[in-house]
Amino acid sequence: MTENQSAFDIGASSSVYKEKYGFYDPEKYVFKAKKGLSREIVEEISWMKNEPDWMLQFRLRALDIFYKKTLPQWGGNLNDIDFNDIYYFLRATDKAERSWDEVPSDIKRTFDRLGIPEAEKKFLAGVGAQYESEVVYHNIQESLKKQGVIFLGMDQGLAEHPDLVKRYFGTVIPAADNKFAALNSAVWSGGSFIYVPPGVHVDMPLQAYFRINARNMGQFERTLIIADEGSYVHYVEGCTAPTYSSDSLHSAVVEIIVHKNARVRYTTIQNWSSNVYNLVTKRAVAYEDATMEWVDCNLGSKLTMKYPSVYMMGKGAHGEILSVAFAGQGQHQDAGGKVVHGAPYTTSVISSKSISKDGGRTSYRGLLKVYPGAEGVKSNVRCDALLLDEQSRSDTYPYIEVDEDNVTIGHEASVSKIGEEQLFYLMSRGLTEAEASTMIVSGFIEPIVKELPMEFAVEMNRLISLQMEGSVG
Amino acid sequence: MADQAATLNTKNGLTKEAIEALSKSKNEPGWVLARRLEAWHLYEETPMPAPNDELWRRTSVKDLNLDAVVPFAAGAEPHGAPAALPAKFQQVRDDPNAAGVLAQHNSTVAYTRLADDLKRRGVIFCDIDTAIREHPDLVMEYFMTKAVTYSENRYASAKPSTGKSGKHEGGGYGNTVGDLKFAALHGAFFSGGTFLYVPRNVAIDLPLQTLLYFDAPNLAMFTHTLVVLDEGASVKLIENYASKENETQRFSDGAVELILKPGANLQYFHLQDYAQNVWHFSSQTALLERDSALTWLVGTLGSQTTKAFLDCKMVGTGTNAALLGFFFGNDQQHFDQHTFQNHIVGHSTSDLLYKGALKDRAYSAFRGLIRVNPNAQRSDAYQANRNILLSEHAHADSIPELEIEANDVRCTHGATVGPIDPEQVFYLMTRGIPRPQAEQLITEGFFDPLMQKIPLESIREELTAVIKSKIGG
Repeated sequence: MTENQSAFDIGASSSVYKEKYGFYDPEKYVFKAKKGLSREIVEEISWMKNEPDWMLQFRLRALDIFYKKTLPQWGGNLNDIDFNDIYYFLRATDKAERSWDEVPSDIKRTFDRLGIPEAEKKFLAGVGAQYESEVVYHNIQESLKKQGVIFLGMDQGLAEHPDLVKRYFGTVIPAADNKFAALNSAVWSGGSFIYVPPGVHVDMPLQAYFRINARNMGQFERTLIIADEGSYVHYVEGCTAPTYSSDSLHSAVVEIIVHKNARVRYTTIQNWSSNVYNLVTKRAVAYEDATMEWVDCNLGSKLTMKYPSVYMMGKGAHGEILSVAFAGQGQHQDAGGKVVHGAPYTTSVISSKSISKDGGRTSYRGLLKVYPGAEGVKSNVRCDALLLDEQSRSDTYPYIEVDEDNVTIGHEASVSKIGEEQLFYLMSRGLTEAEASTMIVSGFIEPIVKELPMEFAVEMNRLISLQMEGSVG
Repeated sequence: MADQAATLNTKNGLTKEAIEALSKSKNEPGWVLARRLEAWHLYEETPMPAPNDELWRRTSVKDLNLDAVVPFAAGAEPHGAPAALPAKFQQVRDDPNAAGVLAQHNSTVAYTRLADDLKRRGVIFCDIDTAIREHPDLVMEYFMTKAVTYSENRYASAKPSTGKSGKHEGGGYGNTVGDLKFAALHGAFFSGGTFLYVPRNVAIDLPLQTLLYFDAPNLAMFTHTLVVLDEGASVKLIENYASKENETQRFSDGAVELILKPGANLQYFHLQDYAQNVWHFSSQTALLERDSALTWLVGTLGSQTTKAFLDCKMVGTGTNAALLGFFFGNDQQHFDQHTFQNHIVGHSTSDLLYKGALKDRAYSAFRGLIRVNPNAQRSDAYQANRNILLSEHAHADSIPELEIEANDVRCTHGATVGPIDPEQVFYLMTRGIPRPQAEQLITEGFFDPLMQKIPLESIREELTAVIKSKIGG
């Protein structure tokens, strides 16, 4: 695998992005729904997928909710999204394959360029690859399958495990949660379905890779992860898209249920091209002594609004959110996290690092909530921001709501620029200013990057250098 | 004047006619009435804050009944001291450690005194009505024109959005005008209050003190404080707000304007201990010109509901602002305070510390925003909010926010919520101090650094006594 073809090549808004991930294939689709959103489109999607009736009803109810809800007027500017100028469903191939050789050659070429099959061989326990609306490839190691681990595309999951899906689907994030959750509930397609049986540890990460290829595409994947008692799984997602002048919409819903004593880690390396609106709802419920960890890295997109949440509903549950956001020219990363303490002796940590450059804007927006009766809660929130030039902007909007006296809550934030003394020191050691800046930025996010598996961490550092290219501090 | 005013007592409700009658009874010049009516017009045009208005999510005005309120009630005869007035009145009036005093009873000022040498040096210290009569040019220039205004959204960015990089107006607040409603109402009905003008280079060592006290049934208080310090002037002003306990719901809608010319130095103490049936709305704005310094302490102990907007506008370089606050809520008290450290130009420092203790079912929301505008390089801004919860049902929300648009800055904020440190309690108990006394000592110690800033011993003692009684019962 050459460096240029690595799996997590999740570059940035730089010109390099265009060359490496910004390529696109001619559009050849088995089925392309007509533009725009309507009841007919929703019915058509459900029919195409041959879904049970309850799912169709779920979708239609969600569509009503979507129409009723107004666009949020906080965060980023969403008023330019034209919901009728979006393709809601594109089917690129007839079925999800278990072998790359059977994936249609042009799609396979795309993923080869992105390096996914290589990575799978090397260090992943399973891979799912989604192209436009649906999963085109899915595979998991035989040994895991034998232990009862399920790793499928969401559509396939619904077809093969309807009872499990029906039991959990939409329970963590109801359609009425917010306008974009409602939209996703109405038109969802693709995403991953994961079930890990009690006591099973999946040692290597499972990965999903999401690719948007078409113009004006809306990708609405839906992921459901259920970690049964005492199990462990690490799920990694990456994403890229070609750079078009018109905007695309990516609006996913991710629901995670972490049962007693289980642990789930969910890592995102978001590297959409800078014409993608990335409006995602991610939430996990953690029961007794369970641990949920979100590692959320946002480098791409035009506007991201995403606040991964952990609802700690069982005694002793632990939630951890590590967030890195990098906003370059024309980008707004409105990211953060929510920790909700609904049970006693639950603990949480939010650690956010954001970097703004070339007029980019990063906003940390978070919620720390303690419900009455959740005694002995400990939570700490730490946000640091680095501003690389005069045009850029950094905001911090942390909400802390505490309804219980016996708790320990702390929040701290800081905003600064790269220290001149640090720069001077490094430059006196022979580094150029750009190299020195890059090194300082890498050091700034190091506490979070070190939480990534080694291959991803290497990639992440490379991406940061890409973002920093041409920077003079 | 008092006779005419007395006839107003019978008129209930907030109406245009009431404004006209009020202005007439005060023999106000036409421009004052015109300004009152302009404010009234804006008040009527502005909708009541709704729960979905971001600035009012935490305080509902649903139970606020303005139909029955009386906008004006004449107080005691000037310079008379009826027995009905509380001892505090006499005490303030006769305080030997104050360079000047002002005492307001209901809607009119009953007593003012200012040291002769200060009068000779051109210091003006009187109620607003007198200032309108005797110093119309000063009032015309500064009264609700520069600091507290009701015609502009205080949170609007200093620089219009370029539309680039997805910047969105208003940050986390959205487009809200809810905060203007009560400032406009105040502009329509203001009466009484304090006018202080200190001429160039006059330094007053002893503090000035005011007491604003009301006891008339159904009275709505509209106290206004306007402080103008000319270049190089320096003064300390302590204001005490109090009211008599009775059954009817009371309403207070005050405004404070602090205007510091280049090199001026002001210490302003706003100490509110209203009875627990008062709805207290307060719009306070400080305007700091070049090289001026402000210490601004807000103490909130009384009222049923307090909703305060405290804006520190740093329009000159080299300014220094210390924003201090303490609050202690018990029973069902509800405090909702917004602070705004607005760095409009650079080379300035602001440092905020708000400390609160909450007991029983008391509620506090602290929302503090630091904004560093694009031109405000070399700003240092700090913000800390510390809350201690003394009982299970007390509730504290803390929302420290940053909006940073310049890179050469140092900005940090921190917030904590928790019970009294058990180790400290344990330590005192090992020294033979029973738990209740230990908790009381620690709580007093928590507030002590702020109390020490208040330059009058008698007031420090009084506040400490109030806090003590709140801890005890």
